[in-house]
Amino acid sequence: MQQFLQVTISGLATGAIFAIAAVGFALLWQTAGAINFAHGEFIMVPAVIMLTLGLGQPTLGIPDFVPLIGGTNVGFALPQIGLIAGFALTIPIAIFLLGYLFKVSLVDRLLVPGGDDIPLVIATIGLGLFLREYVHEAWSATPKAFPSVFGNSVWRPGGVAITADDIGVMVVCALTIGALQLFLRRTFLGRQMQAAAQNAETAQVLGVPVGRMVLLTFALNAVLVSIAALLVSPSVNARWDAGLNLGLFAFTAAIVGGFNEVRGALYGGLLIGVLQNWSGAYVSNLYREAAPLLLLILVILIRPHGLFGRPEERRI
Amino acid sequence: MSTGTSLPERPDLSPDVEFENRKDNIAKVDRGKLSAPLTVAMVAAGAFLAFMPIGRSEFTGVMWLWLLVLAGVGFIHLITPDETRNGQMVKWVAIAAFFVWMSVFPIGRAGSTMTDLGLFTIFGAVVVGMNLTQGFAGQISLAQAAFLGIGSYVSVLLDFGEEVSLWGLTVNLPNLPFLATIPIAIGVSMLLSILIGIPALRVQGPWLAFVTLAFNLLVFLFLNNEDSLTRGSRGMRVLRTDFTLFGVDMLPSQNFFYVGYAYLLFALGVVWWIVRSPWGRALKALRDNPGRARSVGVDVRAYTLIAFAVGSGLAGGAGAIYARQVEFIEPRSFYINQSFDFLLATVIGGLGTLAGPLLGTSTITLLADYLRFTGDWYRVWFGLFVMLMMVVAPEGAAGTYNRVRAAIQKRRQEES
Repeated sequence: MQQFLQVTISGLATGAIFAIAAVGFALLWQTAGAINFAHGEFIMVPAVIMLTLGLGQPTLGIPDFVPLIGGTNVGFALPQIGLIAGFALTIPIAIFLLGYLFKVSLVDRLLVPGGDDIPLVIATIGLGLFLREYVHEAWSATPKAFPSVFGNSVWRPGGVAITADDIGVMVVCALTIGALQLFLRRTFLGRQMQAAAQNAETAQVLGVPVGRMVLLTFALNAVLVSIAALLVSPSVNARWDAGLNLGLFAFTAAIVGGFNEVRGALYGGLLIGVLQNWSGAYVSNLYREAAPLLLLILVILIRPHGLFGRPEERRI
Repeated sequence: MSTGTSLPERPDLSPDVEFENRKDNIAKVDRGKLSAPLTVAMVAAGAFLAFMPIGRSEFTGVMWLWLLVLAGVGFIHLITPDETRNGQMVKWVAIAAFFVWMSVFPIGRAGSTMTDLGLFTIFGAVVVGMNLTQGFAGQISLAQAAFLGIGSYVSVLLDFGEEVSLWGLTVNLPNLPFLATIPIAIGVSMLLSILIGIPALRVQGPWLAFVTLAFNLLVFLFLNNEDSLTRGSRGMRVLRTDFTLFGVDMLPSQNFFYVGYAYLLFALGVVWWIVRSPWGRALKALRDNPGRARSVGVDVRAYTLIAFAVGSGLAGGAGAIYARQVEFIEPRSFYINQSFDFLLATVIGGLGTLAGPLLGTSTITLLADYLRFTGDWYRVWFGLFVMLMMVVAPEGAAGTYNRVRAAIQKRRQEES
């Protein structure tokens, strides 16, 4: 029983992070129609930026950015301003790179109304490859430890070890998703975003600035992946290939939960986190990652619109 | 390959239609002009690669020579109208010349050149299969490496014929000859692809891409963890010693090359036959206009599923040959990265053409070799290149070529 509680609690914490990542993925898909196969890398990149800006790690070698000149590493260390400050600095950078630049340079060019979505899918696969390998070459090929912002303290009520990180993660995730729900349901801007997602043409006619709403979605996604990066990196480290699994779990959560609901992505994420931990503890630790993927195939077979979603409705 | 057999229709001379046609032509020619900068860029990149002194082996020399020949033939083909007898001849002579050249090339050669060329034929077959799924059925499969791996392991295990155990079940595998394992490898891959294709293709959208990505990870986990069946991450050695086919010793790689080459021809033949068959016409209709195809009674789901199954089956059979070519298989070789590489080859070559996969595979092999001096940076450039290509020329090299050619032919017709 103790082990069960233990495994479930840490699964919920992991799942909460998947949920945040999944919400971002679903937002882009619903509002802009953009399916982002580089979503995992979108979580990995802010973690790398955060660690570099916040803790000055590792030292930057600028000439490494130009491979033709050669890899002479004239390193310089950034001042250590702390992880929270690094996070604060990362958000505008992420909004620019992963929001604005991504939208303008790829999505706007490749997503023609009424056109095929395959070019964008391929381009985002290329983008994922680029980001992964770029971090591998220019930043670090070995994983870097990423400290938790919540510290390392552990409480043991009744023999169940609960870490400060687990609690902190769950609180931040609950606040983030709650705030997002409030924003989408209660504010004028949020309602406009919903309108743009549900029916862009009608929304345009009614005076919703659809273009600006889409841009806002990209920015929102950038903020969400930055938060996910801050929360998930203590357990997976800041590493170049972290995005492969994270991306897979994020869109698995989005699809399993039903991507036309913020709540769906939340439940999907929690379900996958818990399921992953249960199968790791009770079936086989070697197949920890397999359970969510099997669930994905099962859900697509039985309820393609997700466990909590409704068919044929676009909503965020 | 454009269908060259149809004669040009007699032009309708009513003024409205003529106007429509001209507008059409102008649009086409303009698009042709747009790709001129791209052509210049590609020629410049080619010249850069040709005179680069670093990283050249005999194999890349061969590939480069081949691309040059291809460019020459392509140029002649570009300016000869398809409808004339000359045009038809140029096309067929070029195709025949390429295959004759490939056939006689290994004579008197040995070593790593032949191994590389052998790998080229195998990966070429995989990409040909992927091109069927993607170019003709319009679905992205990201499990091509997984099917390659499944084919490898199935074929090797059945060849070894040892006692294996899986999940407490011990089986004595039969000891089959190599050639008999190829159809089994193809069959197992097709069966698995149908199993994952049925749920994924039930609904519209890029679900197959998600499911195949998950599937590739599952296959990797399975191969890596089931030690008693696959020997896990230690891999399996598959030596070609004491290996003869039709009385020929297969140990020298210039002999074994012909196995992969024959398989590539088989894969091309299968796709060519499918595209020509009524069934292939339905697929083409599906690719060009899904809505219309559905409205005239094409069962979209079944056709897409079969295309995906055939594409995956081709990868599975290629796996059987791959294992003997590299003489060592391990789960790492069939990870998602490899699937991404196959995707890039498919896209770069051009979707929905027969020549595209070969062009794409050779470009990828060449680029990888030439860019090796940048260390692992070539993957970074790959990523950039794919994004750029999707923005500038989403049809790929072969598709762009066909577009330019159509524009030239149109203009010629207009002049005469």
